[in-house]
Amino acid sequence: MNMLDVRSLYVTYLSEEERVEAVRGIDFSAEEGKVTGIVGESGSGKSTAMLAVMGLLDHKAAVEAEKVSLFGNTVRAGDNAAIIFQDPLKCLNPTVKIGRQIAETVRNRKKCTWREAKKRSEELLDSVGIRHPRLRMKQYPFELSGGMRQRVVIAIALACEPNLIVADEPTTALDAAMQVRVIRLLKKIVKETNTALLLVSHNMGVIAAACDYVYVMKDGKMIENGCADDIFYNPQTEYTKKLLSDATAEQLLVKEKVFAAQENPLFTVRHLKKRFQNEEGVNDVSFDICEGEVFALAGESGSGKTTLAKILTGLEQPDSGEVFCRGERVDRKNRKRNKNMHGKVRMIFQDPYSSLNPCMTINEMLTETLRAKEKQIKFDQKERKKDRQRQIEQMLTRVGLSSLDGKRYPRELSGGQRQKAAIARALLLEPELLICDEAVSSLDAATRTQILDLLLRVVKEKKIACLFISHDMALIRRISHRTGVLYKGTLAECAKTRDLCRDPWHPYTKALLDSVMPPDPLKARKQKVPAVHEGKSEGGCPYFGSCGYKMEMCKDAAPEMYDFEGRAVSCHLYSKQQRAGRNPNYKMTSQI
Amino acid sequence: MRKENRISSKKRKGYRDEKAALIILLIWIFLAVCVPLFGPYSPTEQNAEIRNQPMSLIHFFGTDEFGRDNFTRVWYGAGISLVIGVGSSLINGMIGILYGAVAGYRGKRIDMILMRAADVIAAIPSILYVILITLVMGPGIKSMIFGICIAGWIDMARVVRGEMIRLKETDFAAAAKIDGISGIRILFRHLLPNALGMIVVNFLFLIPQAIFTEAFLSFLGVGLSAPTASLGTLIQEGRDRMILYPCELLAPLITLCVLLVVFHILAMAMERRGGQTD
Ligand SMILES: Nc1ncnc2c1ncn2[C@@H]1O[C@H](COP(=O)(O)OP(=O)(O)OP(=O)(O)O)[C@@H](O)[C@H]1O
Ligand code: SF4
Ligand SMILES: [Mg+2]
Repeated sequence: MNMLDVRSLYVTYLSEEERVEAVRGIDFSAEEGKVTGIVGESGSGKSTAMLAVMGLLDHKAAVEAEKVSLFGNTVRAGDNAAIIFQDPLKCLNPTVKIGRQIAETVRNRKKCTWREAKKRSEELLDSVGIRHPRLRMKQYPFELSGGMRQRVVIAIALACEPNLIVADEPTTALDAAMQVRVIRLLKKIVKETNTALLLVSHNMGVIAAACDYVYVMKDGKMIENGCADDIFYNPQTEYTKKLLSDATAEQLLVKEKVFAAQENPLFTVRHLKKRFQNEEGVNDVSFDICEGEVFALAGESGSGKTTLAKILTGLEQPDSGEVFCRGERVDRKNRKRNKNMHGKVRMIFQDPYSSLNPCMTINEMLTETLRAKEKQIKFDQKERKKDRQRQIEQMLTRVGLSSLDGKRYPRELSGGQRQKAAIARALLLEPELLICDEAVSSLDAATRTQILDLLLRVVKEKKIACLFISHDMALIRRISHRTGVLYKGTLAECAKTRDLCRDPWHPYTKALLDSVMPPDPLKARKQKVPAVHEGKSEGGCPYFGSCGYKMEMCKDAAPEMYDFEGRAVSCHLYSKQQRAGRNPNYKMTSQI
Repeated sequence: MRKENRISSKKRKGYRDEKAALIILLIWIFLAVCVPLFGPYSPTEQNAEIRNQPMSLIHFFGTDEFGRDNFTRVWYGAGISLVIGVGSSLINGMIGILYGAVAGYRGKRIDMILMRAADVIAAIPSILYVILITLVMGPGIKSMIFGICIAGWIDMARVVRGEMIRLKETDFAAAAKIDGISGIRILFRHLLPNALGMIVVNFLFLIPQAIFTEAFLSFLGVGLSAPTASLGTLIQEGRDRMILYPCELLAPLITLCVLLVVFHILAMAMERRGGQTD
């Protein structure tokens, strides 16, 4: 039986200048106990349709529909329906403990005492797979990791005991392993509580893993629908075929770089170490980055990627270890040299909403950057001042912003435009190494491609190097030349991206690659839920707790880096003892 | 939904209060400047012929026992209160911002030392400092402002320090640091403007505090000395003759209360608005 039934829904955004028809007459329905997916590229009106169904579009838009009913009733957000957004922090109040937030929702739904509400909240947290719920209830949102926050949001959604849950890109901000876990969790909840789930995503892998029935949406219309297997194995329309081929094809944005033998690395990092009070930040990491190269750093949340980037930029001081730039040691104690270093490394941050000063226009910000540059290199002041505006405008055009955008404040720009402004700032000082810390993960697919193109073009033209940090293996495969995989602050493997993705050597790399969801329902259903990494091993291999290949020796001795013609791997499977019996001319291959 | 409605109606009411408060404040300032300057009477000149007159159209609040026009005296007093309130708050604000900014931005040892020093100063009630200073320097507007400023900046310093600690961890501060912009410039050009909302709110709270301190001390007779009469002095004088001439007490009292309330409403409105933009 159809629970949610929507017939010819039209939504038109009204602004002063124009009318945008975002949704143009769509019909769809959702069944109880089933997951219904809606796919489509960015801007196809998916989110608008969902908001319209929930009645959350206020005066900005005109909504017309022949019928929107949930079991014959109207849909009321927070009552018989709940919604989950992409960014869990948007749904959580940062200043209120999560226990209270859930309990309040419970109490809104039915009359009960605080104690009963607390108890129910604990059950809910437990049901979404958060361990030690009683402890967690006393924490604030910022103390939880991304995946946990999203679970809390799901728990809050469940607290309303809704008939319908709408999830709008619920996993886009999470790393691959966490994506799989959250999707599994949603599926399980839907089965157990017999609610209907509408899942919106642009990621075909997520849709394949989760959905029973799929709608394909384009330009505000539903162009195809069918059960998941039909859509994936027997697509009818060209558009669906294209979506599928885009998702499966290894669309490489960079060409394989041919490394000249003995090429001088631009940046060399040796034995970097940084410890925070109680946990490892970065532990003995070494690698090289060459000119014109995109070096990707992969790893799950909390593995120390950002810490490493901060050390390279000089924002954090390492406990030990060295960084060389063109063979010259960057001495952090020596202030003058340190200044030099500042000119060479630039960073683009993950969140374009926090990396631009809200009190400055883009022009003001860029002027500040130029001023700093002029201070370092003595210029004729008068001459320069005139030059500044010209330079800024050139840079803005370069990154695809208009000079009008330059006069705007960050809050008046879209996410993509902000990220472009951040890139403009980074490039203005002609860096040698550009660090992109998850620089595109908060952007939608179309903007993301635009920004990536821009980045790659710049790296190539200016002959600089790029350290690209991301947890998205699919993205890394497309744009990087070489990849380093970080695990709990240690470098597990480091190799050419193509080799590494095709044929992983380290067990953790394999696990990381396996957690990418394939756009194929059968494979996706069989996919294992990645193990939760647990247990610190003192002195042994950091991956010991979850490794499927562990041996006796792994427990006591941490493996060192073993290097085989450009492939470096830190695992005992490749150690001398393991190689002992072999022919000395044996060419090392993957041991897993 | 219901909750939202409640908030928005509250918001609307807030805007109305705010406007009314601002208008009253402007009227008060206008009167405090114009009445003593352009009015027909002097606040200090005595005139034996018109002693203890009741309220009339010539003397709105009557005259006192020396024949001085109460209306002029009240507004002259309000002017003094405003000068002390705004003047001391400006100085306090300046010191507090500098002190807090340096402590918060530098952090670690310097922060520790600076804030402990501030704690020590704040341990003694502000009023004692003022009394002490007026005893040493003699009563007067200057010593009053000076006394208020000894410990008055500490609240501001704490607020600014908190904001700096929050702001210096932001990505845009990190980006500025990577760009090689000097610490002082980051502090004043990049971070402080972001704390402006909080600073203004705090500043608006400092003013009524200072006005109240002055009025309180003058009422006790420690503050300003005759012939400069602030609202506190007037209330003190009016108290003795409360039964016979209630107007002499009520006029300065109401003027003072309105002034304090108006500043409070404005500060609270700013605070609310700051919360919104965040
Ligand atoms: N300032 C700090 N103080 C204490 N611990 C920290 C600090 N910064 C990072 N850490 C810890 O160091 C580890 C690595 O953090 P880091 O931010 O580098 O991870 P990441 O790989 O960038 O994760 P994500 O993908 O979520 O961005 C984490 O365990 C984190 O809790
Ligand atoms: S060293 Fe041992 S435990 Fe560590 S990854 Fe290799 S096989 Fe697994
Ligand atoms: Mg990070």
